[in-house]
Amino acid sequence: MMNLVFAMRCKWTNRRLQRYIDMDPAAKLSETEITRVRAHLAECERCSANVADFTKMKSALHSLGDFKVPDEDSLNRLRSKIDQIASPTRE
Amino acid sequence: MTVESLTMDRASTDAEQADRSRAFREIVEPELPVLLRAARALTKSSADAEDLVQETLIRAFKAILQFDGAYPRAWLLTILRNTNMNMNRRKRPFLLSDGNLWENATPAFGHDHGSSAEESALDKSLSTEIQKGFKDLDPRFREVLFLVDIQGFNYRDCAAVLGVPVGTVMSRLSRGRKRLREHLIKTSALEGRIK
Repeated sequence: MMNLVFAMRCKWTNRRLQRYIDMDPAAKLSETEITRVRAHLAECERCSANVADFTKMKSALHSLGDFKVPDEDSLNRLRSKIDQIASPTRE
Repeated sequence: MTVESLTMDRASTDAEQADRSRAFREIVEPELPVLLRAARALTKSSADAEDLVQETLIRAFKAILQFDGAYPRAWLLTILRNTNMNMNRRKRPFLLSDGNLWENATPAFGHDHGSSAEESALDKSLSTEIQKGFKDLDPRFREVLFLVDIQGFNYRDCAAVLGVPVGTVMSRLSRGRKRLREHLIKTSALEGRIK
């Protein structure tokens, strides 16, 4: 019986794991959910290993994106375009 | 119509124009880097990306008075996506359909001077396998992982770029990450202590 309860907690936690890792404003977990997830992670080696893996993977993917910072010249040309579009004499 | 009322109308029009310009600048200027990154992902060319953002700016200015002020970034990204579709007269099936944006990627691992040689080797292996696993992903999962995990878009903005609901972004992200993790465990790039 205890194993079944534990398995259900794992399932419940896993359904919320990505949202727990991302903490995205469009899909926030409630405070109650966060507390329950944390409590389960503290007692479940399998789920805490999942979180560690996903977090490491997310961090690795993010590092690979660092090379695509927009070019400053492009940004300056676009800022000039904004000036041109928003100029009161345009219309 | 009197000269006085004409002057008042003119003043009112000038004030509206000034409001419109101010709102446009305040909303759009902070979002330029994000727009450029999203445009680069959609067009896969720096020159085309800049053209796309310029066209987006023009359309955003025309529509600024209809904008309700909620989620400006998502609003701009939706305009960007629609502009891209109109400019190309077709819908790109998927972002990164061939994974080419990764060809010139320079993994940022091993740059942490505090990490040991062993940790650096593990990071390098993880980085290499992530690129391989990423390319093998279904394009629907790959584009969501690219926008959220690599480019740092939030769910709502990612949904705006792709033209799908936020729930779809979440489910593709979850499935894509799980498949990538399976690849990394299979190739021993992640420890996968407990499968």
